[in-house]
Amino acid sequence: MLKYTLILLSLLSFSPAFGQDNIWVVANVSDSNIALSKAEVRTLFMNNSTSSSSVLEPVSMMPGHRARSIFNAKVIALPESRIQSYWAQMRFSGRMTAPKEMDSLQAMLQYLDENEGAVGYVPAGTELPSHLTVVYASL
Amino acid sequence: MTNFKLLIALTAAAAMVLSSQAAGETDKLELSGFARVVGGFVDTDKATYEGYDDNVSFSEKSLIAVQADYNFSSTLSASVQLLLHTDEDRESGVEWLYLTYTPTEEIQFNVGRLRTPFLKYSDVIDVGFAYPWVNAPQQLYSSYMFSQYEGANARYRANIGDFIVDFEAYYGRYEDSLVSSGIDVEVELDQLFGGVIEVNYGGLQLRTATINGPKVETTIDEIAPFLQGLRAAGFEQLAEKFEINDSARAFLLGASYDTLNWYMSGEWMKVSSDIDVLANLESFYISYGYYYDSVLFHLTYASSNQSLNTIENTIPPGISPELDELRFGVDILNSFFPTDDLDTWTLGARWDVKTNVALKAEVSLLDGKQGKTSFFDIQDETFDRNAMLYQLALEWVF
Repeated sequence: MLKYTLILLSLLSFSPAFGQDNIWVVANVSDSNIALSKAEVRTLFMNNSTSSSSVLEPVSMMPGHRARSIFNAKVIALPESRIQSYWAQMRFSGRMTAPKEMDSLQAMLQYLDENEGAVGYVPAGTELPSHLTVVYASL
Repeated sequence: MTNFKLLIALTAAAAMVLSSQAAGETDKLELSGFARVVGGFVDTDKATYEGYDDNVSFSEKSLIAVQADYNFSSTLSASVQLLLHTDEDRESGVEWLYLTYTPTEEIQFNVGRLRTPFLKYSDVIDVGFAYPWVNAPQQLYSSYMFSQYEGANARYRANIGDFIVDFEAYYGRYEDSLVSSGIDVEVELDQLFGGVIEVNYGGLQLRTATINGPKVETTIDEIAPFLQGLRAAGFEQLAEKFEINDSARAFLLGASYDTLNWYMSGEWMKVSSDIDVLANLESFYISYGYYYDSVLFHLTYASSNQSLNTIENTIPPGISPELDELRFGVDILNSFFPTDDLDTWTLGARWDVKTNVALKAEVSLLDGKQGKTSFFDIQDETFDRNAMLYQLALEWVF
């Protein structure tokens, strides 16, 4: 079902407006059948935690990137300022630190490519290296 | 003030040493920090509130802190947080100093000097950037007890379906000197323990927490001779009631819901104690915020109710001048202990200028109760316990 959705999405993403308005959550995992729900992606990026058995490392885009804005709006469902204040709270109370931040799509793809277990997000329709798997597609 | 300057110099030196080391070991050492510049005033000259009088002051809450986290390995790290403060009633210095051991993703242990977790923002109350207000609701945030401890905590996170449940338990000791109405109060607890349970489901968060101090020992040097006088005059029972040497505890319930455009949050807290002169306190706030572009507008109502526990003055009047003096002393002492009933309405705005800088402005209507302290330091007894508080803040994290 997910595969079907993804094929449909990638077809639709030829229309640039639609493609830019969605993101794919992409992972460097050996099991290409792995799929995450929206709630699982949110938990991974906000709580650095996952119910799946494999250890996943979330990787974000830097604030200001369009993919990040879409990800914030559609997956995290919080404004950027709230996310920043949340991470300040987590860091200065010794709980955890925010995911690593990449400054370009290229840097993101390279990081994902080189680090097993890394999970990031890219604009829907981005051409991916063969061993990266789309684990969630925003709607 | 000299101490403060010395601390600034020391912190700057420490930061330089740390950052020069960091050049070689960037992965192991992380430096970060936060700062806030807060200014404000109240529109009355008959009382001060949170240190503010009717002249604009920037020295009550402004601060800067540097945090260094050193990672020995992927599971073990050490952290220190140095804080420089301009508040006369607070000491600058090492605010946090602890080791963190994270054997798995779900489990974390901390050992050292830590801040007590209780209210939603109580362990980051100095990090103004972390919350919407300039001044988090006073009725809760300045009234919970024992803000830091030396000891250990354990955290456990459970993923249950789409729910994330965090458990935290801590145990330690507490020692601090507080300044209450200009008088030094030494507080000591050999045992302090408590816990937090937090449930997160998407933007919904539910929290509950407790703090327990089975034996709170308090020394107030200023009143010790007076209590001796009471004992010498045969009023042993009366003197005993002014001794603070018993248990205290606090309980909290909180809820918040965050969305892309707005949030609602509230907390309710009850502090109770077996100490005769420390009354029970119940307080809550409820807050709503709306995001308009990068500006957040928020409105908060907060209220506190402190049940009065005045010690009955059993010294008969008019027997001798000495006894009259003791009797007068008991009245004074009774009025020394606060009765903090206060309702506030706060309207504020927060503008996130950059991802790490925010400007805040806030107006609070303070509606206290006649005859009570209501968190004010009253200079003129004719003060009607009503005032407006105006505040501006610049918040920065780095």
